[in-house]
Amino acid sequence: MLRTAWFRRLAACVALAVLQPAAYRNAAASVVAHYRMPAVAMHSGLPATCGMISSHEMHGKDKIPPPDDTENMPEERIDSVTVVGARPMKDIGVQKTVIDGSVLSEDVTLSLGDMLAHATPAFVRSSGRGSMSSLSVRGTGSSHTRVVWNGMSMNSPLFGMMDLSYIPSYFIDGAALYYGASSVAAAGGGLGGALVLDTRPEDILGFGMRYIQGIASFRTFDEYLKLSYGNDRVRSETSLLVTTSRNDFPYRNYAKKDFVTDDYGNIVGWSYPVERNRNCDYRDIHLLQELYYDAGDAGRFDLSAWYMDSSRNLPLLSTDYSESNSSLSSQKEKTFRSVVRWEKYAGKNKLSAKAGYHYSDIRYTERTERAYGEGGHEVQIRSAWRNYITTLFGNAAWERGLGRKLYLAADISVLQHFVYTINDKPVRPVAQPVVFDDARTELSALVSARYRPVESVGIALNLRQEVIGTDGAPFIPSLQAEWTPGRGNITFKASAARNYRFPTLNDKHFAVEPIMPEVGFTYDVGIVFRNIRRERFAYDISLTAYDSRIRNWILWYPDKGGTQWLPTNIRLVRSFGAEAALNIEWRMGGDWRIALDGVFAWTRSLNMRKPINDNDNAVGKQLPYVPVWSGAVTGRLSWRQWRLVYKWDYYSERFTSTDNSATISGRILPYFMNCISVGYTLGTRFADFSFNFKVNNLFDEEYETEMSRPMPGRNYGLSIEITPRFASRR
Amino acid sequence: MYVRITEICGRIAAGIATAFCCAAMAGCMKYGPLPQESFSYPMPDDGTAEGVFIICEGNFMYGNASMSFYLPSTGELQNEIFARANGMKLGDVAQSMTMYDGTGYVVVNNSGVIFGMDPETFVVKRVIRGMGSPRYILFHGDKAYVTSLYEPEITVLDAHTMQPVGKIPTPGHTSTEQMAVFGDLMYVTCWSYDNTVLKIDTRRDEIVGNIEVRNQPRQLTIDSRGKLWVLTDGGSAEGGTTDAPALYRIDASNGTVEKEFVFRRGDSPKGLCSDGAGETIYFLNGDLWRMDCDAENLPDEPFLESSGTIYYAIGVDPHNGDVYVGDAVDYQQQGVVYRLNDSGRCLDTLRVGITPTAFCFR
Repeated sequence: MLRTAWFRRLAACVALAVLQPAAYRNAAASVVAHYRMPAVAMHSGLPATCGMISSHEMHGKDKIPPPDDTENMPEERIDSVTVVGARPMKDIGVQKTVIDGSVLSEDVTLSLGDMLAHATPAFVRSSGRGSMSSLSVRGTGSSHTRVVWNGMSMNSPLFGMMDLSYIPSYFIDGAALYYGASSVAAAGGGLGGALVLDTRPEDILGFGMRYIQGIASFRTFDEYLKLSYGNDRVRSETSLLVTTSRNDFPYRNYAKKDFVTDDYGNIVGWSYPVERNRNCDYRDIHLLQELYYDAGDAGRFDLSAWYMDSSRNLPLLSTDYSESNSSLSSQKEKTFRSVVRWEKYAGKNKLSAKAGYHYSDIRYTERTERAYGEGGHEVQIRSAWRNYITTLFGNAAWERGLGRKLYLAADISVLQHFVYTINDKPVRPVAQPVVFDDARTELSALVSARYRPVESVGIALNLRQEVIGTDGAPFIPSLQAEWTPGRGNITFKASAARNYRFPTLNDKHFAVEPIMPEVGFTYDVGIVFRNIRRERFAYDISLTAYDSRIRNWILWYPDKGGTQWLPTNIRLVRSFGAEAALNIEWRMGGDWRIALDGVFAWTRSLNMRKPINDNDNAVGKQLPYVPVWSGAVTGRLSWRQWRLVYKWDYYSERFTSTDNSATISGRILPYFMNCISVGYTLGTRFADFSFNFKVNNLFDEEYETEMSRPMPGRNYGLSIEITPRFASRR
Repeated sequence: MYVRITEICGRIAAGIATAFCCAAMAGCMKYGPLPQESFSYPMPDDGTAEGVFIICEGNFMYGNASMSFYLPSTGELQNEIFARANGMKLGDVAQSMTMYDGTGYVVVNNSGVIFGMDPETFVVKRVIRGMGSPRYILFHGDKAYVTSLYEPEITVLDAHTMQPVGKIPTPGHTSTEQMAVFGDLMYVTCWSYDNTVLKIDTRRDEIVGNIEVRNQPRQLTIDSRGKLWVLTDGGSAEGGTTDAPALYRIDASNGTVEKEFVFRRGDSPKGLCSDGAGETIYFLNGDLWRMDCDAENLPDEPFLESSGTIYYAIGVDPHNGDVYVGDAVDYQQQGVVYRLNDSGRCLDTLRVGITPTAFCFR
């Protein structure tokens, strides 16, 4: 009985992790009763839905069973299951943003990076679709955020980071970004935070299908197909996403001029040329297979297997003058990831185990193509990197609630990486290939305790021990606390942690001098106003301030004139700042609804290294590419089957040099962006049809997000979604 | 009380959000044409012209190369003169600059372009395209020669029209670097993963011989005695070799190696140049070094010691012998140029663009 078992599991989850005082239960019930727009849960750990108990069912069950009563709970069939927990034990003091599935599946054209840029105060560095998208949390680097998919780390053992442009938001059913100290419970080494991604079964029985065709400017096509079948015990979901684009958008190039010359080659006139983005086409294919099996008393088994085949050319700079002789770069990646999970509730215990496998074949090529007169053509390969990464993963975890006040958990994970990387450099026959073959074992064990001595106070302690090959065994502790006085709408939070991040294998192999691990200490304080109601308005607010110090920060710097990048340790980077998140919901009456989500960040990330010499102006300056101010607002308006979404985001000036020199070429100018989409859903007897029309860069602004890489002007996208009705039951 | 607190907080949050949005809307989107300025630094015909162009290569794939202009007599420094005078960017990885017939030719390597600019107003007069990865340009007679980092050929241009008139194939050598002319012979270093100095007859534009040296010959210069000096960097920086680098003194008339000065293994010497009189040789090897053209050994003491600096380029003013040394600092911030007199005393310190890599004297 899949649904019954699901309810049991959720109920147990509630019992184990949502030990809430009666005052909060009433609040929870009232939240359940009203319509809830798709929204991003509060940054501070508002209980984003981890499933939801339907209102009519819940009203009759305002008494949450105690944790030790889960065995004797009556089994009842209910329809959709959604839980609005008020303050789960697991989330004591946790600073996080939860993005629920409805937001993630809002737009087939968006990657997870695009989603996070709008839904969280984190900074996502990207130069558009088909280009790398890296996440910077609280002023840290992209490798300081651990990305976990179904429990398995996605961070590359070579590069340290995960390129979020390779994760379609449609392939993720649940995402949570943990900040600073709160990330320790999810993963070690997340000096900035941890991004936890999950795939989950849909709550549909029988056949299901969803097909989306997206057509957008610059010959961009997105095809998405999902087929599913499920009965009470078994469920299969297969998703396919194919994206292709020429991506050759036009732009006015202010880096160059078109000169008009006379017969002697002298310049007699000029204009800024309108050029097209060159060598920028891409093709990504994703295939995801999910299997879910409820084995009754034996527990639940899940399998997620994801294959990706990506081929992307890397655009030329706006300062490139090459014509027939083109210097071109491309990256091709084939990656397979798979995780098998088992989960079982045994009395008061929750047991789980995971096993995973990951393989990547990543190739980066620089080439020159030359055309000679009568159809002659020559291709010269200048650099040919090949990286092969294999990772094996294992995990076992245990959770248990002891009474209403104490919750314990333990978790142990192992990652075994094998890497082989080589640069053939065939253009230089006498050159020695750069090659290394390495392996690394990463063990990580966590014990955590959450304690709520009185209803209004919670304390959580996480102790993580890691063993990274033979390189070291860092101990990573974190402490979180929260206090919820009065009626329970205001919560004060605080957390602190000491964290480590070990050099990646590339850090280790390319460093001129031995590279040391990064050591971080971070703490934050915050206040959350939850479910504040004024007549038709309801809003949530969270405000957070943080401070962190990272010693031995690993920075790749350009050496030998920038043609060679090498890692080195910076003595200290200090990051501090503030974040705010705001969710407003306005029930206008009738079928009208408005919701507004906003995130704002003030980020100082300062290079506190020892001066290189007397002329070093980088000390005390903001790290390159980290904006001091950023913000994003998403407004949603719906009326019956119509919906309107407006997105606005802003990034302040970013410096590209370590000394923050305000030179012409030393900074990315501030910009704001506006996007709007209109959607309509048509329901028929046989299928639901959903139409969505989107305008990106609504005001046709000219801007750059990276040096010498212009972004597209106003562009359009149309998608049609078809969901046949196969008499499925929810 | 409780209601009051939540109301106040709500209003504060709404105020912050509104103020943030308004400020952001009002204070951004400045992207667009670069403002253009007029410069005028005339060059008198009486031989008193002065002025130093400092080429800053910027970061690879950032497109942030720049040029500075310095007047030693007044200490006036103008940064980013190319962008400011022309309303456009210089490009990606500026490599070198050569003066010829009243025009300064700036080679921008990874942009694949050479700009010919007025040395008095800094305004672009010519744009030469169609070459892959150009490195240096050398004028000889009615021709100009352009080397390339990736193409197995040297492009020959008409020095007046700057139109291509031919190519000199360099089979087996895909990286040609610096050039020097002695009579009708032109010597060319083959740098990247190579160990050859090519000897080219400029009358026929053909390779007539080559000189085998240690790994990665890069810079060369000819002194007042007709000796060709060639500096190899050993290639250790690229990880491709453990061969010790060397400085060669070669008879430029016939290409015979007279003397090989060998450095320590792991050294990465660079920046070879001579003074205006051709009597003294300068180079970098961590510190700044110099030696007489007649020296039989490498110097024991540096001319200028490094103090946490990353000396990256040298230039010697042919008018007065002042030495200019570029410090890349960390390659990601505005570099520093030290101007030294003949005795090594620092006369001026200049903050220029990212990674000063070459100097050109008017």
